[in-house]
Amino acid sequence: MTAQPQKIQTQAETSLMQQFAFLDLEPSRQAAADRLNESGLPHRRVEEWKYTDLRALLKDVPQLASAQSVVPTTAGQPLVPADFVLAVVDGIPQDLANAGANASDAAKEAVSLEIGLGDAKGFHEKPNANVDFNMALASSGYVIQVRKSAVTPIIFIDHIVSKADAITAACRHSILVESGAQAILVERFSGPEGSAYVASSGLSVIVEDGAKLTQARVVAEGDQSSHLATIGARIGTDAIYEPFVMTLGSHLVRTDVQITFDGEQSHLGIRGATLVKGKQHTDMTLDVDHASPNCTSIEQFKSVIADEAKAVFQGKIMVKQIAQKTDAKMMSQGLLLSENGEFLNKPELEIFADDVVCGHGATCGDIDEEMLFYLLSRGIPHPVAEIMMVQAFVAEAIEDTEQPEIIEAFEAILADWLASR
Amino acid sequence: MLQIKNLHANVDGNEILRGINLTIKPGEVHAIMGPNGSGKSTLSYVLAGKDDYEITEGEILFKGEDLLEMAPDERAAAGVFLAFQYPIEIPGVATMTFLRTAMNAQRKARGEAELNTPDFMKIVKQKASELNVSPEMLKRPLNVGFSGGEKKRNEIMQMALLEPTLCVMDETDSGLDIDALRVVSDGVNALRNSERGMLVITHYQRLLDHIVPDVVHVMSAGKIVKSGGKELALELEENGYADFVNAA
Amino acid sequence: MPAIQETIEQVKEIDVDQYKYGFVTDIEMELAPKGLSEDIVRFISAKKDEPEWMLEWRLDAFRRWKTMEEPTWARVDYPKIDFEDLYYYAAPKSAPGPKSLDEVDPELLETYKKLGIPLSEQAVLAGVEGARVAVDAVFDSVSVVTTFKDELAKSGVIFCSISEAVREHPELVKKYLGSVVPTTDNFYATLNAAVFSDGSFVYIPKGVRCPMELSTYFRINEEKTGQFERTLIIADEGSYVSYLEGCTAPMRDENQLHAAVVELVTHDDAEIKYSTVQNWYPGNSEGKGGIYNFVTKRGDCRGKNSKISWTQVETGSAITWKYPSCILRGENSRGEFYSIAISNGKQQVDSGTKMIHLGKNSSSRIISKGISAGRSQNTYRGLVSAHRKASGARNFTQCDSLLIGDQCGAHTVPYIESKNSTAVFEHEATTSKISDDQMFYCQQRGMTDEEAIALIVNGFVRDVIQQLPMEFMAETQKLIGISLEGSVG
Repeated sequence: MTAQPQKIQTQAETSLMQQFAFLDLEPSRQAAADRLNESGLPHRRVEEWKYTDLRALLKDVPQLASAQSVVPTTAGQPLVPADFVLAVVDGIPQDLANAGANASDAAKEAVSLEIGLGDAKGFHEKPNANVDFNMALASSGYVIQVRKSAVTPIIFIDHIVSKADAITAACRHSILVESGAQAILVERFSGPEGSAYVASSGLSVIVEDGAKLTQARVVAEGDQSSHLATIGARIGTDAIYEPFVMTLGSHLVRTDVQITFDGEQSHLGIRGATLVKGKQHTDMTLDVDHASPNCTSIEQFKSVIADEAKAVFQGKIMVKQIAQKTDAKMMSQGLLLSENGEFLNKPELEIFADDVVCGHGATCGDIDEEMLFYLLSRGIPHPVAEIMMVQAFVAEAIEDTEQPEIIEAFEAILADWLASR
Repeated sequence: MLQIKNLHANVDGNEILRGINLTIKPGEVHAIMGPNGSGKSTLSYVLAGKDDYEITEGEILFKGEDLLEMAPDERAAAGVFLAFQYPIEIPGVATMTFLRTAMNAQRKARGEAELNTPDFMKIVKQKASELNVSPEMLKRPLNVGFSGGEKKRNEIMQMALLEPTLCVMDETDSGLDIDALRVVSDGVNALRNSERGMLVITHYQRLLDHIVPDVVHVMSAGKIVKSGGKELALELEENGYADFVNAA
Repeated sequence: MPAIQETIEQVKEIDVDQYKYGFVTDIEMELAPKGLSEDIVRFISAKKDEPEWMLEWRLDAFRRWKTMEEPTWARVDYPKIDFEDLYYYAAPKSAPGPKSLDEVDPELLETYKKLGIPLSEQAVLAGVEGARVAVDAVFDSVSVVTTFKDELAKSGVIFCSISEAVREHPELVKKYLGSVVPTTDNFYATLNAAVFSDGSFVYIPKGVRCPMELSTYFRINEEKTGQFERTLIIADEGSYVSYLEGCTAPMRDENQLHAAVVELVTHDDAEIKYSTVQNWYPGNSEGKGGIYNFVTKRGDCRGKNSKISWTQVETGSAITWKYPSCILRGENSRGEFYSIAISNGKQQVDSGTKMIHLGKNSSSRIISKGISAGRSQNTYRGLVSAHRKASGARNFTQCDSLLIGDQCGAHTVPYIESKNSTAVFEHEATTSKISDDQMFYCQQRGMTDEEAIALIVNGFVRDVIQQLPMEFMAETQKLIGISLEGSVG
């Protein structure tokens, strides 16, 4: 009685499928492409994409840039002084010859860099459309390995889209921080204004036993672009992973972060700040799997929404039955600066172990009138007071970062954003 | 300097101030006493320009200008300072940042040059030490985690830094022990001069032992029901507010 | 705290592993044939002497239902229901609408006794003067006794079965039925619209404060009978009513489906307080035989300053799928949701609320306490949303989960959607277990594990218990103890 309706492909789906057909994909990439072919782009009826209907929002998937078409370019000024400066142009990793020009011998000793497609072990096993999109399209990236050493090397990767006409830029990196090693990874994503390019980025992270990785990412893509990113990380025993994602650019941003605790006594501190205006749509979707006992995690996210922009936060904390003594705290807060902004928030707890302390908080509203009045009563003009309030709101998340240089860089970006509003 | 004429104000449709008349001349210290709910705090908020109050009648002239026409920050720049009964906590804003922003904003509004950092630091450190405000407190977010006494000292320190011409203090003595009360009062007294007017709002007479007023007003049910010299405060301490409340 | 003392004593008395209310009443039943078709819908409508418009309404819903699919988004897992293998109509053969209690089947009265209906209400049924609770007792599908109608009528309150309302007050039913939960709303609500058997109808006229609390007891009795209650409560301008709903069900081997719909409407300055204690049969220790409870409850705060407050205590059913919600349409309207959801054994609960802020300065408050024990899964799922025009909307949500044992799950899935900058939402959720220190302290004072748990859990849910009408408070405290039996050791 109910005939299956003919599925209509969107422009983006059609061009994606056509490109898949032309690419000669090896089996794991083909499997990801097949899954996307089968399901199409995710839409609002898929729970994980309820607030970000990719099928409706992604207008097109332009031609994938290839190594042949890319004009070699060097990285811009790093966000913070770095030992290694790497550039990815239109999704293609650039030559490593001068990457470690500023690195000390100790740092050079600790870090090995290669161009290629590393493993994707950091991601969760269950299929995810964003991961599949990247897996199918990305053909290269950096494979980074950090060995135990007396130093904490800083690696900066600058993702640049160089072409003014719309392209698809896809890459996937992997970083392995070996037992007892420490590293800082700083990333920036940028591209031309006015171009409807698509940037797909994947990052697989392994933090081994006793290791520590600090990560700072700034997403400042061009205003008409779509940025689809995934970070998948596995954390070993006694290990620490502290990423921060600052999102301000792009027309459409979806970042999927998947974390798995593989060992005990480890800590995750993931934070983020989202600054949106105009008609931007940003989505931070976090899936933390406490699969081991005695671990702690802090998830703290701030969203500042101006104009008609929309910010989405979805954060799931899963505590498996084995993960006794888990301590997980998530906080997601939205600050709406204009009447027509939207903040869509879905913090989620899924708990199967009883001896745990887990919680989440979520707030949203405009600038607190009492606080604002206090500032005004001290003679601070309204616009300045508003900026102070926004800075204070975001600062709570930024300030927990350990590296002063990173804090400074983030604060400068925030100040610029506020000034440009 | 300050002239309040037949001031009526509503909150959510309830009339709280019902015809206040009050004149403060330069150099004078006025105290307003009265029972809870008499409208004392409302008067202080109306002077500072808080949004929630609707002025239905009357006017306020400050140095001859219409205060009610001015935005809160303009009033502050013009020299009106309110020491809050409950200073607001603002997480994420360092006290030092706040002070510098406020000072420079006011200087800018008055057409003065901004203070450079060393000068600013010097002034803050000096005022802070006078009011027993530790350098550690200045680094913390504004009023967050401050004790009641620390918050009040911070208010008076701001008053000293910003050098207003009209100081309105709303229940500055509440929550203070004897020692803190002395520190705060000394800070206030140090600011007394022939140019500056002060309005001290309090429930108890004890603050007025330390900050001796020129004029004492009794407020009840939104009106000033009696005015007199400092001895009026003592009289109130003795007999309570009952007579005045009934009179109103 | 004497109430808690009482709980402990109750717990002691309970015969473990025996569902207290698991008995079968032997009353002759009249059944429609199994399965669902237009003919069955016509049969039900005809049995109830319904006018043509009502039949059309049902048929319309039935046709829609045929095109719909069972929802699968809730975190519940159960074998697929064969909707063709259910009876959609069952009525006791005794004549409906007895004029006095003498006409009531004595077995029915015996049933109420076993149900442990509070003494005051038994007194009402026994005709004792001065008892002040009206009971519209629903025995399976047909209302068989309604008390205090006269006294209610004096104040203009209409409290009757919905079948009677269809006949006697068609203008009210036409105006309000399906206006809060449309026939197209969801799979179960649409099914209900097609085949609802009976339920309660309440109308409180302008300015009337209902002189007593209205109370309905539900019973599911006949094997394989889907129970499709329909309740409609309208509080006109400036009126107030408190409505109590309590349920028990007999032990059965077959799963039983229950898909009720409750619609509430409040006009300007009106208030409805709706309280539920649900302790239907949860299934045996293997999870077999419990009730499937798929309920749609929604209130529409249509008028300014109107208020709807849901309080629920959910301890029973094998599966609970239930989200009592408020549409806050009126300016300054207020919605409240207070919930205790206890799951044990293999129970699955997916419950919560929706607070839809449409009106200016509308406010809402959600307090949810979930307790999971045994091998149960307990999910809070809630939506708070502020639409563009809902300036000044406020919500406060507190969701706490307590886990007892390491074989169960507690889940929190809130959706918080703000499309207005002046809306202020605050949400907090915690998950924890009963601390060993608390347990030890209680044990040191001489309590058994189960007594200690009952005591501590009663403390954990206190904020919600306080919202319950007096009649339900003590019963609920007992129920908590009963529900958590066998959760330790």
